Amino acid sequence: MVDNITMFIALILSIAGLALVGTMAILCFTKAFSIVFLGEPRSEKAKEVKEDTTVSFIVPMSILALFTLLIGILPQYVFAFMLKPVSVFVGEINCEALQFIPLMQVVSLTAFVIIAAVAVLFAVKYVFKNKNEKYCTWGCGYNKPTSRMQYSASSYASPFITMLTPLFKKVVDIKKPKTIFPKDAHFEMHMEDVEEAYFLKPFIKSVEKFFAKFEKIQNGNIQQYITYGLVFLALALVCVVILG
Amino acid sequence: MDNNLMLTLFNILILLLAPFFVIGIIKKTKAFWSGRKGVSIFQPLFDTIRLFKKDRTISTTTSWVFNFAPAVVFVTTLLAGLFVPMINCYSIINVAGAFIIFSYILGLGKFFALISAMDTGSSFEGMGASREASFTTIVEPAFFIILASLVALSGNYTFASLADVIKSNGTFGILIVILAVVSLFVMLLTECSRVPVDDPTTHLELTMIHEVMILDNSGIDLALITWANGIKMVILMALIANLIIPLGIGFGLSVGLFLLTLVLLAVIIGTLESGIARLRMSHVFEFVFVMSSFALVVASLAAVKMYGI
Repeated sequence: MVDNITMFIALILSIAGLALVGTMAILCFTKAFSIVFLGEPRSEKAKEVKEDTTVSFIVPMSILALFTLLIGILPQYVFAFMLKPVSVFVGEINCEALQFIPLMQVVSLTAFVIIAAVAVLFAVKYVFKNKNEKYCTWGCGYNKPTSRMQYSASSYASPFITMLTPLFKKVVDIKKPKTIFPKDAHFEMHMEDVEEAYFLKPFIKSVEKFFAKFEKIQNGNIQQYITYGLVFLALALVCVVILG
Repeated sequence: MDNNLMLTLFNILILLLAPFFVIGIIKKTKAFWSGRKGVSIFQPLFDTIRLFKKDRTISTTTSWVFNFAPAVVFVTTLLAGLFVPMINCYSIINVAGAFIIFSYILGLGKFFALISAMDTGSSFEGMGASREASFTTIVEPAFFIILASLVALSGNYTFASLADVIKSNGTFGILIVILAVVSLFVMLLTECSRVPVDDPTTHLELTMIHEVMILDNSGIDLALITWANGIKMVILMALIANLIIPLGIGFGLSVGLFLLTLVLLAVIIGTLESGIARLRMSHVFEFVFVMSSFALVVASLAAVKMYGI
């Protein structure tokens, strides 16, 4: 049981915070993964990318990925492994921390069950031996998917970010098509962090403005640089003479 | 042991079969309110069997993710269901902290559903995925607040804390249960894409959230995903049922009450869908936030109950 009300409020807020972080992680990683790896290539350059299959590139990454995966599916061993080094710093490990080991065993078991069951189900799909027809993505009449029709990263995050409106600034650059035969039109939208839009950018601009005044001094004119040297030498000479 | 075995079997049967009948009842209710006879409540079951037999059409844009995701979605949803209590608050996997594992397993399924939608390269499916992910960020914290409050009240870290609320907290318990039920119901409407958040019957892609994500799935893939969505609905209904139904009233009565709750919730959803229209997208967020505010009230009530004012 929780001892006092402050503790209770703190716990409730932190568990809600953790849940929020978890869901934001889903949002973030589905966005990152799908924009980079899924769908149609998003640019001409991306279309021509050849994956690097050099062993020395892949093996180190695979080792890191493997360990990350192991922490996820065998947390109880990782936890037990960490206990000793942690106890060096904090003394004896609190028993309350140890009560989570059974929970981790369940997590581990669950992970293996998921992997096994997915494998079985995936195999079953092939046992059914239904025919698979290949066709382009359903496009509501535009049956030629291009990267321009795909959802972009900004649009993907937009509903969530709009909820946090005070923290972000929506920057819309729009040029509407005019006349009967419009020559060009343009639409662009992206989100800017509030501190970037209202604090960092004005700050950087003012700094730039200040230092622009010194541009005259460093203007790439060699004669002028030689003059600086001469003036410095003259000053140095005066200093030496006066200060003896 | 025999009793437990029976309960386990019952839980699995409910998880696998109830989805079809719940959806069937919702459709029947909607038919009733619009003055039609409607299809049999077995129709969703027949539909799924038909889909299992059909061939698939797979987009040339997609990768292994699209092929793989339906299996993951189905398995994770079913597995999450094993943690959820049904009759007499009995869950097949009963462990402290179950609701956290439960949410994260569902989260894994959702992750794959989202990347599978993005894998098709369709703008519609991307839009659905984006909205689904955004709603999750509102729903999950509220769900955690409610469950954490109930756990703190009962001092029991398993899902059994659900059934404990009314019994050990009297009037406060009833208040908390009412609020928790309403907010879980909002979660049910959101997560299972029902009106007013989403309209599962429309095929106008711009109004859809979950339905639009599976536009390109067909055959066995579509069957698995719709089945999983039904299971998710039954899971959330079971959570609500366990909040309401008291413990220790005998096996027969609790089975009856449990099934009655499922039917009643299905009828309520059907009536709601006949009575009101889908909300405008900008208002959907406000509707989903209702859950968060109710969750905070539940937490405050729990705090008042435990520590006084």
